Amino acid sequence: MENYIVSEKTAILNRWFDLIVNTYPDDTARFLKNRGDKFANPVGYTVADNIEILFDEICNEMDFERLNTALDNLLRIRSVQNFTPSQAVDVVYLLKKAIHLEVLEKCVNGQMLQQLLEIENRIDATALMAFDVYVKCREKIFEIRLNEARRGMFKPFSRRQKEDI
Amino acid sequence: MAEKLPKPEQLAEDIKYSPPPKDWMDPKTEFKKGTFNYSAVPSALDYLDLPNPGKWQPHDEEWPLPDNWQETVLEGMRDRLKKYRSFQVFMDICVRCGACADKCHYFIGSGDPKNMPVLRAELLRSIYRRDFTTIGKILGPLAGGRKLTVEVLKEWFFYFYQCTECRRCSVFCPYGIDTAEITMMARELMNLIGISIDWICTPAANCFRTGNHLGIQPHGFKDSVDFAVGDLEDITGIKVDVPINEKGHEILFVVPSADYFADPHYYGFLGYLALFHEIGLDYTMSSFASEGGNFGLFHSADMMKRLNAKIYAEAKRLGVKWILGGECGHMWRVLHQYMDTMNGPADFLEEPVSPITKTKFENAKSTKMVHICEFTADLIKNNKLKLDPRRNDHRVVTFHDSCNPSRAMGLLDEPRYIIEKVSNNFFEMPENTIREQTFCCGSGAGLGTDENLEMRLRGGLPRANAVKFVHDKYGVNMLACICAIDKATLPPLLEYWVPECGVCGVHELVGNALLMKGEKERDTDYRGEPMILGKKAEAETEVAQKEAKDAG
Repeated sequence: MENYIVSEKTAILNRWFDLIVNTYPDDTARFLKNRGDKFANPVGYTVADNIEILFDEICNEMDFERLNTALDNLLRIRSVQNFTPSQAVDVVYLLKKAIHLEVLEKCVNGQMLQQLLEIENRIDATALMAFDVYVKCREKIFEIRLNEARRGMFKPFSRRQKEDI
Repeated sequence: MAEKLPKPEQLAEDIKYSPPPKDWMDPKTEFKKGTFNYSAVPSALDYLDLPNPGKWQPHDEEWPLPDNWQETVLEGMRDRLKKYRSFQVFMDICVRCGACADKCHYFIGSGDPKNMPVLRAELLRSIYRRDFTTIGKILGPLAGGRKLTVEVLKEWFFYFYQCTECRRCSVFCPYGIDTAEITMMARELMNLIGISIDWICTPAANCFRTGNHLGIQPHGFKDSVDFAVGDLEDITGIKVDVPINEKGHEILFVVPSADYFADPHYYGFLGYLALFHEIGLDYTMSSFASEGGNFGLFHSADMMKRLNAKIYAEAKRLGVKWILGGECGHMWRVLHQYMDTMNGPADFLEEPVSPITKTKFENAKSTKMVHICEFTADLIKNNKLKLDPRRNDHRVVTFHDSCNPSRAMGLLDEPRYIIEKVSNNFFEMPENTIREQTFCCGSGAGLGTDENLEMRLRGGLPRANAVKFVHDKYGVNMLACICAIDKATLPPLLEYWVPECGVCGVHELVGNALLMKGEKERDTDYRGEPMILGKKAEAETEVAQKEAKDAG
């Protein structure tokens, strides 16, 4: 669809990126904004790459696989960092704030409220998916921890037991 | 009443998306489960004759500190400033240029500014300034000085046990400040009042008692080796002989204990045994020097010396000419940089010479100890091994430079040379993530515990990110490395970040590719997984046929 919000993609993405990196302490946010090298700054780079995919999907097809992969890339990081669950999934809602800050006035004035509400509904749906992804990542962490403890305790003995048999 | 309630708009305005600004000088450490290591258990501290504050945990509100703890710590700092010139220099010369700030894997992965090496060091420097510099004594906080309080101590514990002493930051420091040494000093100071972690003190106590971190006694050591001999016979049909504690052999072979005990280290151990059998090496292992690793390095210089002493002592007792060491990371920092001056000179040993190729290992002239990768690379270079790299065709390999072999001893090319000769599919990770600039696994220096897993997943993010890149681009499915801690902690790291990629030692690949005289027909690798010989060749043929067909 011809969409004013889509036409403002660059400004909205820049704003969204800034809002996300500002969820980190000041010194870290400064570092994350420097997107020079993918390997020197993996977090900043992952955020920039994946919010673009999310934006494109939210404004277009809402392809589940692409949304899910992008959310996974973002939340896999935030799941292990020092965020509460709500702070971690907040990245999706920050898109609403970014849109409001960039285009809300024009949307209201230009009678484009319908488009805005549709996008907001999609953001809400994406946020719910984000919650699923977050929980999946956390479950994985505990699974790994359990496996690690099991490996440490049982592996040596199982080898011995094998020999006894 | 209703007037006092804020309106929805007002409430929404108050939501702050950014964390509140905090002054770093004012510490308040939150010990969140999953992000710190448990404290040292009293029995381990007692065994090592260390100060013992009793049972406690870092998340306890009250820490069991002795009355004069500040005095003890400051006195310890004074002693060390006198003893180590480098410590004094590192405290004074930092100009806060920021070159190190974004180089730490823990900062990159966690986003916590106090993991910037400069700021982490500042946690200690601020105390130094207040108590050991004139300007700090007069101006206090204005000159960047801080009083040593319980909160500062908690912060030390939290952040100096987030540094893996990997020394990546020091590669970028224009002054050559080695932040790992600052971490070492901070840990030594905390040890003076019994504040330490279990995953350092218990392995150290075990090592002091039995010679290895796991506390395996001599008969257990022999059991494990015998079991490996049996496994190797099952796989290859060849029964190898592994002398233990036998006098009169040429070489003493020392490995990290995980090699004969843990997975996937064990497969590399099988690789060593197969290799030594094939070349007819005259060697012995020792059930007392049954650990090359040295968790004393993560504790204090004194502890490192105590745990290391057994290696030269066993070499002397067994009457060998020189020592060969297995794949390990921090073990090699100790052996290469400290052993000679700490417990040497090893004037009863000879300059190492390969009995097979007659190559002199001049680099080991002083320590008399050679790295297995140097030894094997030399064998391959001199065409002493029959290798079929196709046997590793089911592996698409990349190489993780372990921090200590790369940055502490410059062992960069030998492992790569070996991998290229024993496998057909080798791809490097990006330049700024390998060799001297390698990213740490995030679990070294005593941090590799399951209770600390979340923190390790943060610290390992930059390494995993580079692995993911080569996995996505080249289909890499195996991360080779030469460090026991890597082999223990990279599998869970990759299970989270790149679950399609496994971890192996370089000598596991060597063992798989090694054609042994009289071996039975093999269709599985050391892990019992099917080897798909010539997979690459077949794929290439398929591509060529398809191209020919398309062109036709």
